[in-house]
Amino acid sequence: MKGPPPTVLQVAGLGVSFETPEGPLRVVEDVGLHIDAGEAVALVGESGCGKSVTARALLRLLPTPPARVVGDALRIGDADVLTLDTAALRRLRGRAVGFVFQDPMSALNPVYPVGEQIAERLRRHRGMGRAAARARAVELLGQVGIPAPADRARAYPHQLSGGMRQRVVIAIALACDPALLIADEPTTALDVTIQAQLMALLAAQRRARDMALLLITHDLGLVAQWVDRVVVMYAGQVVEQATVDDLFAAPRHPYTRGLLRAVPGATPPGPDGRLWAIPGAVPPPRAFPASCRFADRCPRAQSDCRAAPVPLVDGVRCLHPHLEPLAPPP
Amino acid sequence: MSAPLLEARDLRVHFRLGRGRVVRAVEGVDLAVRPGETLGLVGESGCGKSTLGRALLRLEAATGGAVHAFGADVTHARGAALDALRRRAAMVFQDPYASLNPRRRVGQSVAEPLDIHGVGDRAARQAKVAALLERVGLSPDVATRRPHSFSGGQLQRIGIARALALDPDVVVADEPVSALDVSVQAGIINLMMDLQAERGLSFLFVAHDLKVVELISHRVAVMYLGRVVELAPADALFADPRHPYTQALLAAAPVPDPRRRAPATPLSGELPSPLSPPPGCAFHPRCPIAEARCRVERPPLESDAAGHATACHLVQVGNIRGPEGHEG
Repeated sequence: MKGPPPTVLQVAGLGVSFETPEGPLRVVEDVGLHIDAGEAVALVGESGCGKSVTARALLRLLPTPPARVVGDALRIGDADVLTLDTAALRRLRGRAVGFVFQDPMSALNPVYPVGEQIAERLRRHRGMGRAAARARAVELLGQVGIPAPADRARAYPHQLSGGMRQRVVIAIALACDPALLIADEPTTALDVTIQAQLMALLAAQRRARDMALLLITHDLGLVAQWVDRVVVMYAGQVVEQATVDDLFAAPRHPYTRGLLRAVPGATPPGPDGRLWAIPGAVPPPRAFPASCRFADRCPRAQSDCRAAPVPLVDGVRCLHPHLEPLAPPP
Repeated sequence: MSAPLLEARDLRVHFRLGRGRVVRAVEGVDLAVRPGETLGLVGESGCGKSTLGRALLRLEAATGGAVHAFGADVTHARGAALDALRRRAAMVFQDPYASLNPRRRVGQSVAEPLDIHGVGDRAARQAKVAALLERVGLSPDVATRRPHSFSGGQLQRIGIARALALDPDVVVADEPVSALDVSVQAGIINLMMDLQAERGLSFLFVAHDLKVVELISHRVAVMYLGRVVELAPADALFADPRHPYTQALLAAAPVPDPRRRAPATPLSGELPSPLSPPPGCAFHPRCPIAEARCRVERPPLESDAAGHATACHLVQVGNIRGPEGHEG
């Protein structure tokens, strides 16, 4: 008998604030997340919602100070991330978790050939010898779809295209067989045909390795195509979480519903072929209200929405959630 | 059919990089923006779509061929003739932060075209600025504020107000919503559609997001490595994409519907360097159906009777079914 899949990531009550001259700025509040082995979860939201800060906080990648990370629980595998010392944290980042950022150049060292950068990771975290690490680096470059990997291992980052650089970053992230890959907008800077190649690559590697994926993205198309579950963030809070099928069929939070309706082609357009826009703008962290943060833009807001903080109940942070399904696309 | 507002005729725009290297950003393009229409121009980075849009406004110089505007050849226009082009054709840029002077009040930026072209007196210009800001959904009071105090969506509305200052007939919009969040993007697209309905304005809408282009465009041109490979009415192009590149582009765009998960068969390979485009059909190294002649002979852009034009040896004019692998 197989038991339930082990939990790879367990987060509860995660909060991030930044010290500023005007006092602490709370940008992320009360975020909860769990990811099982082999599962693909998307953290979705628009700019300023706190999704990237959350992703960095998971590995304590934010500089402290000015950042301050608090939480009731933050476990990756067996590790209690909030209490790890620097050395243990470095081991965790190198082995248990791989990280892919939006800009591959920020993750690569411009003055070393890419093969050596992969080999370095293997030698440090796997204790491999020079020759074995080099051979394994070439193998990994092949696995991520780089043609002529033995030649390309000697290339410097600037000699590769944006798509190839991101493949190298993925190879580095996969080098130590992580249980969890965190990918923060991994294809946002790339063209759509290259994006499709890389998302297919991530999915294939995930299957081959039974690896969990946390995809941070603003692109609801990628969410629909590539993940199992979705966590929606708005103004520093989780406002809804659901399986991808449930979320697209019947989004319950008015923000999620507004977001899905605003995507061209996701739902039937409004009157006269117009798109559904969400009026207003996201409040800046300084102006986050203590009550519902979406109330000022919400067509369903009532007086109770502005009275007190709204808890996340049954996967939705809303006092008047939608219960009816969303009209499907034509 | 009425005369086009802006037209590229066998237009070439090359950039010299030194040491004999030349980027052929636009290479023999024929394309016309008609009155009242939105012409979508799509393709991946480096395909030349932005350069083409800028060249039509004479913001890039033609290396060969011609640019016609409002019935006149403006390829080498100067002085009054160039002023006339700039009065009737305007531009909206991708990055609303970079396209407004951070030191100037936004009202001054919106008024700048009026100042340059000497339109009206001071009071008339102020009234015009107020009306423009109001039309794009902002309070006229914001005229005295500087760009840093606005969100991206608000700045793009200001950019649109500035483009409308001289009541142009045509606006080239270069990726006007790609820097914006989806909920904000929807408002800008709605505004552009409203402006078109109100003023009969034409748009050349340069974008890489196919869903946005499908929604807003009457016709769509697809570019690959400096050339137009397909040009068709929008509904025809999206219902019946014929060029293998167009098909691949449509297949690669992730559909925001988990019930329609696409099989993972992405187009292989990457965009070749525009410094040394492949011979023959530039798409042949990535094309799943390329034949021997595709490697040597460049296919011309040929139109069928319905105005659906394709540059592919393997899509015969009149042969409505595209090549194999085509999905309806």
